[in-house]
Amino acid sequence: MVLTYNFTNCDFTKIKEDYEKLIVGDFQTYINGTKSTQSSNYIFCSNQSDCLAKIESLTFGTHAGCGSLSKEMFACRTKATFAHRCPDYPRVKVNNTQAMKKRKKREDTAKECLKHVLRLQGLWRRFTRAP
Amino acid sequence: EELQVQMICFNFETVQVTWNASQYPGTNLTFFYKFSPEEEYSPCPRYTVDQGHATGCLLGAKDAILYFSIRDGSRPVLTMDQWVSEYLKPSSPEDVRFSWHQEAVTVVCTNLSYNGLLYEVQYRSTFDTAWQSKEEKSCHVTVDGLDAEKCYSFRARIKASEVSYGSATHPSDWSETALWQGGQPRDRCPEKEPLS
Repeated sequence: MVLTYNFTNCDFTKIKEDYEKLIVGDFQTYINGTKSTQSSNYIFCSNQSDCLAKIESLTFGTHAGCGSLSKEMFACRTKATFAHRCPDYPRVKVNNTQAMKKRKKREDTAKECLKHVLRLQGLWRRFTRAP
Repeated sequence: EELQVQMICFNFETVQVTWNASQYPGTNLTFFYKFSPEEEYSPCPRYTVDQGHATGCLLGAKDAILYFSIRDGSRPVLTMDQWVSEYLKPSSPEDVRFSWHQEAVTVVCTNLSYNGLLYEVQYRSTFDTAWQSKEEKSCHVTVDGLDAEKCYSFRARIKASEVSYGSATHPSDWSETALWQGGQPRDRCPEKEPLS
């Protein structure tokens, strides 16, 4: 059972700065390297803590057809930001129960992963402007 | 070939989705939308029409994900979802005011009600050919190093920051151009004296 951390007490301003300085570029690098896809079934988030909870779930969860994104640079930096800016954020949160199989980036896996990354990008953007 | 669609979200008040009707000659495509996956689709409240053909839909907006389906009769031609914020066009700056102090001016206007924006002021004197720009995260932009003798033009607009909205947004239209000289508003700038 994966406990959901409550992001309400995080330092949103600092997280936003970390995103602007680092994570934005990681997404761009990832997206530029992968053929784009038309529709992505974006995910909505209402306020900043809701956005961070969904960002965490999407970043560190495992996804059919894609596997896990947790090894990507943006994920490592997301984890570092949460650990640094959110009080008592549990250090080891990543659900790595099964050994990460070496995943050759096949065309369909890349496309499936890109959908999740575009959703993440949408959530982060919403986080930076949410009321 | 997939139907080409364009979207503009006007200040999170209305969103306009347009499509290339010539890709489906002789057919009136119909548009259905919703703002959350659980909702039922609603029909387009107001079509934009060109030469008798529906070319787009105009509907109320908010900062959310728009789910839409464009159909030929009952057959979906394109079903998509998109953050309308990605195609935001803020409204023009309102209530633009200038306050001068020596060789600097602070331009102030009403901040829009949502975040992640950049407020840009452009200015040039009659001796300049190109506009110079200054922008801030709120509508309080100070321009200094101005020459009290010269006559300056100022204009302002609002842009959506790429960090918060991505790169497919549209800047607002410019505000009216305002003329100032020596800290006083001008109707016209004097013609440049020819170099003697």
